[in-house]
Amino acid sequence: MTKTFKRYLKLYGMFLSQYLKAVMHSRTDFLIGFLAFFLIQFGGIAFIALVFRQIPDLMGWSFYDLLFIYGFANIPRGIDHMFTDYLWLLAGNVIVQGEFDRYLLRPIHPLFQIIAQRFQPDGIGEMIIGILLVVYAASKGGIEFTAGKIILLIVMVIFSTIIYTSIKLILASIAFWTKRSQSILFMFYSMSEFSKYPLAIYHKFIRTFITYIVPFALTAYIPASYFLGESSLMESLGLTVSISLIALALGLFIFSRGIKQYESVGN
Amino acid sequence: MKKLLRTYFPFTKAVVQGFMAYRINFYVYILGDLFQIVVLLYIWFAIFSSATSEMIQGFTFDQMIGYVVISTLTSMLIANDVHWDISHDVQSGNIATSLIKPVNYQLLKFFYCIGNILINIMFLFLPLWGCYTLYDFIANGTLPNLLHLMLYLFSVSLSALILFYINYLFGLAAFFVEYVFGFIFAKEALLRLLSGQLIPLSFFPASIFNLFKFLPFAGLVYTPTMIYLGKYTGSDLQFNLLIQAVWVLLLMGLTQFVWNRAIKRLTILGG
Repeated sequence: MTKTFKRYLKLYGMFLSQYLKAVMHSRTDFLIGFLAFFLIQFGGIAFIALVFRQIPDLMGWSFYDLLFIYGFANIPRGIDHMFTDYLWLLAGNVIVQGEFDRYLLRPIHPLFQIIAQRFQPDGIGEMIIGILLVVYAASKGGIEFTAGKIILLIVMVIFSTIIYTSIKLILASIAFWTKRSQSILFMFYSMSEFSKYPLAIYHKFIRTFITYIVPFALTAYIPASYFLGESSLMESLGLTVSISLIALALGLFIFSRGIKQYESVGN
Repeated sequence: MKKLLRTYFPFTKAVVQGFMAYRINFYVYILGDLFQIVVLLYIWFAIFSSATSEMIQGFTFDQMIGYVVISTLTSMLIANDVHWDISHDVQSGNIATSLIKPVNYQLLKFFYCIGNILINIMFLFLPLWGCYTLYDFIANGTLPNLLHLMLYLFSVSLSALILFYINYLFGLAAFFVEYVFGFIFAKEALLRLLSGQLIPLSFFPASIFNLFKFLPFAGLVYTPTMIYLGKYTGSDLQFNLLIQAVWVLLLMGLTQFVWNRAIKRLTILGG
C-alpha cells in the first residue's frame, strides 16, 4: 500500500516537473492567466465594496465578513483548479476523439493519469487572492487566529477542495455514457456562485439544495461561518467532512462504473 | 448591395444551421449563466432590505430588478463569438484559406456575428423578454414604453457594433499571444465590470463614473439599459447615444490599423 503510494507520488512529481518546465517556457501565458483570474476576483470584490458604500451592513453581516467568505470560496476553488483541470477536457472532447484509450493501456490507475495529465497554473492566482482576502478580512474584521484555528482552516480547505473535485468528477464521468458532458458540468459548476454570499439571503429551498444536493455551500459559507462565530465546529467541520467524503465515494464509484462500460470510439 | 448579401449571407446561415444541431447544449450553458442572475437578485433583495432608504442611487427595488434583467438580456442579445472564431482560424492556420478567397475577412466575420445575434434574438432574447414583460405586467401592471423601446433598439444596435469590433480586436490578439483563452477570459471579466452588467455604473464614485461614461464599455450594456428603463432623457440621451456612435467609428478605424499590423506577422507553416 505505502509502496504504491510512494510510486504514485514519485510519478506525480515527474509529471509536474515536466509541466512546470512548459509553464516556465511561456511566462507571458502564465501572467495572462493570472491577470484573467485576478480580474474576475476583482469584479466580485468591487461589487461588494460598491454595495457597502450604500448600506451599513448586509442583514447583519459586515463588509469584512463578506470579504472573508468571498476569499475563503476562492481557496478550495483555486486548488481544485490547479490539480484537476483535466476533468473539464474529459467532459469535453477526450472521449469523442478516442484519447481516453491510452489511459486504459498503461499500468497506472486511469484517474491518477487524468489528474497528473495537467497542471493549471491559473489556479495559483485564484488561491493567492483567496488567501490574501482571508488574511486581510480577518485582521480588519477582528477575527483572531490562533495556531489551532489556522490548522482547522487548512483542514476545512482540504475537505472543501474534495467537494469541488468530487462534483467535477461525478459530472465529467457522465461523459462515459454520453460522450460529452461539458455543458452539464458548466451548469452545475456555476452553482458555486451561490456559495460566495451568506446562505441566509436565499430561499430555504436553495439553501438545502446547495448544502446537501450540490454541496457548494460547504466550500465557502459553511466552513467560513465557524470563523465568523456564526456556527459551531460540529455544524461546520462535521458537515463539511462527512458530505465531502460521501461525494468523493460517489465520484469514485461513478468514475469506475463509467470506465467499465466505456466503449472506445476507435481510431 | 444585393451581390454583397448573396456572397456573405451564406456565412450567417451556416452559423444558424450549426446552432440548430447543438440547441440543447446551448440552453444548458444558458441555465448556468442564469444562476448568476438568481444570485444577483437575491443579493439585491438583501441589500434593499438592509438599506435605510427605499431608493439606492436613484433605483427602487423594482427598478433594480428591471436593471438586472434588462442588462442581462442586453448582454445576451449582443453576445457573439467572433473572437473565438478568429483565434481558432489563426491557431489552426485556417485563416490562410479565408485569405486566398475573394472575400473581405472582416465582412465575413461581420456576417458570422449577425448569425450569432439572430440566434440570440430568436432563442434567448425574445422568450426571456416576453416572460419578464408578462411578469412586470402581472406584478406591477406596467407595459413597456414604446418610445423607450424604439430608442433602446437603436442604442442596442450600436452596442452590438461596439462589441463586434472589440471581439474582432481580441480575436486578432491570437496573432500576438498564444494563450488566447486567458486573454479572452480577462477581457470578459473586465467588460462585466466596466459595461455595467455587474452593477449600475452610477454606483461607482462620481469621479470614476464620469470617466467610465466616456469609455466604449458603458455603451455596451449600461447606456441601452438606462434608455430602456427611461432613465436617460433629453440631453443625457443625446450625449450617450453620441458617445456610442463615436466609439463605433473609432473602433472601426482601430480594427483596420491592427489588421494591417497583424497580417504582416502572419506565417503559415506548410499547407
